Amino acid sequence: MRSVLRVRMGALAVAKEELAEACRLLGGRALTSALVAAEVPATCHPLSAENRLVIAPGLLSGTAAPCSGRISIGAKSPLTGTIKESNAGGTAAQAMGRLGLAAIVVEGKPKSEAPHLLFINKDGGRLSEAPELKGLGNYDTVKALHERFGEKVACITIGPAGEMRLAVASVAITDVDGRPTRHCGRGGLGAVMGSKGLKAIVLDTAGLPRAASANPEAFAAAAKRFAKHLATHPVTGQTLPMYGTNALANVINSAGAYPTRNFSAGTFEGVDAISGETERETILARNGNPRHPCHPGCTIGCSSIYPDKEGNFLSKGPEYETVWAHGANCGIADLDAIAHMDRADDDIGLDTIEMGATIAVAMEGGLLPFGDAAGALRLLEEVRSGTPLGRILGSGAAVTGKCFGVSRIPCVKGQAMPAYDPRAAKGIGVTYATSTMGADHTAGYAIAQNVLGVGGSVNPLKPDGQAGLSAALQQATAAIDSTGLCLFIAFCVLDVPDAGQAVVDMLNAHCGTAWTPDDYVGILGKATLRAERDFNRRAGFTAAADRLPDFMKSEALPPHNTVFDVSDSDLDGVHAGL
Amino acid sequence: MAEPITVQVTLRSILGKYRPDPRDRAPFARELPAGSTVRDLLASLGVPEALAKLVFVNHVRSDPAVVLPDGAQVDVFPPIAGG
Repeated sequence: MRSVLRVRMGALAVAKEELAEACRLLGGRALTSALVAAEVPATCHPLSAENRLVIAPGLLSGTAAPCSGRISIGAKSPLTGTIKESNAGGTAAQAMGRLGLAAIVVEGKPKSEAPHLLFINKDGGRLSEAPELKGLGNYDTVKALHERFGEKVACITIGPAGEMRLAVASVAITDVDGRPTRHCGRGGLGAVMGSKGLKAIVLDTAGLPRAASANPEAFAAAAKRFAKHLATHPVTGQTLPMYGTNALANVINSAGAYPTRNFSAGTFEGVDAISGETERETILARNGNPRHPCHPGCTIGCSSIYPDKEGNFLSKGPEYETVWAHGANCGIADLDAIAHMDRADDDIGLDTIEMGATIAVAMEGGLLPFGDAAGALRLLEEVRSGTPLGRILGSGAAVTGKCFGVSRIPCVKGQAMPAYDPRAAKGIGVTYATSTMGADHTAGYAIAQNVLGVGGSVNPLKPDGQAGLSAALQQATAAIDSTGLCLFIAFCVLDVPDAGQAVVDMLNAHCGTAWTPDDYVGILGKATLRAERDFNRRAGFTAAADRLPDFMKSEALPPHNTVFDVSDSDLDGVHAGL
Repeated sequence: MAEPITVQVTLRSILGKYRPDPRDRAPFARELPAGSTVRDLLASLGVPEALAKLVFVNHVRSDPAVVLPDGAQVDVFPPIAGG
């Protein structure tokens, strides 16, 4: 029976309670959203004591299922004001799974100003003050935690951005090498953690076995079948492991949907210098590792280790979104500079997508020229220092745009768009507009069908079929987000029906359920979206918020010279099937 | 007899081995008879059609049957994805 760890910062009390019956079959995003929707007053200020930070591994996290180490963190977002779920890999989900924890719920605020540390092992959890960690970057924080608790612990930490309660602040999770390189980036959840005076959570699983399944033999058979499908699909078995997520740079650029210089064009002349191919060549030339799993048991291994010119560790290989945000979107064609910015973002604890979008808006506002890599890195250090300019930038693209008088603001519900321009990839535009999360690409990744030819084909340049595509993907994705499985399994599952069946078989064998695929999407996917939509409605959001910024309906994007023309009634119909 | 056409071609990631110089990722020119299709181009390069999952002709994803215009930019990718 899984437990919930209740952490009351006011009383500095930690108590374990049994997971409520209504939540027994929920995990990951399904659980974080259910708890936030039930326990957080929808109109509260996200940095107030009334908000809750909910951390939940997926249903399969802690088992031997391949690619099952994803964690969800949820709260009311300081960036968007909506409900938020942010997802990352790393080691914490599996640690929580082994500890038998369905969720950690952090509530209230402490009386003292000092940062606090939560240590959890098989005996329970205890809170303590940790003044020695105050103001430290994530790298130094994790180093101190390893010195105190050993190298094998999993760490969930915030950097200075979270301590300053900035809306771009991320929550860092340690990777397989114990580095804080995996981030729950979107939506400022690091600020919520900081507002509760919590600097670090340490998970010690010494002596604990994997999470037990209801039917171990059936589970093992389904996991083996699933692993085989992942290994034999050309994306999950070959190109994604070889080239990582940034393989997409040339693809999206070729498609004319690669947002360049604050979403003013769909191709970047410098794309080759920052492409996945260049990244792989650089890593190999410097004896880095081009295939590095972000969590144990991942068979895809799309991440990498990126050394500096001297061959020393600099950062994990910057991901597609990070390279785009700090690269093409800022007019920067220098992969080393981008890797330095990635390292800074990870250390300060910042969402790389929002930060890159913010710097680009600042460039458009005249703070520094497009292409100024050194200037961009200096701005990140301003955020770290908490100067007034740093606090403006650390509050995101929409706030920065207001402060610098910029009208081209690529945000929905206050969150910046990721690395696909919706005027040339209209399916993802529907997702950006209608997702409960604000402008979010993973919530309903229509790029698969619009550009990649995975799971079918829908012309990206026409409005037809985009709403139905996004709707189906949003439901299926909310379900995957609840399992602990990495979303990249979808590239295989969308093409191979038996791979999707294997996911349901693993869940049934582990949880003791008898779900059909429709049950699985219904219980973990649709119900989650219903809870999220209801929270947002209670928080004051109406259909008017489910729109792209006006400039995208009138400003044609080269090279296709298209605008976003999916109708408002199509957008309003996306969630009709919930 | 129509003039031959010339297209600018890039072969990406694991398709690099089919480039004239596998180590040179820059676009290379290819001359073809007028009316040639994507399929004809791939055949002339020795690229198996099953491997050429994504073909963009002037930024538009195109099926093998699409006729190539003169001067087209053609980008060819294997099955590939990312984030």
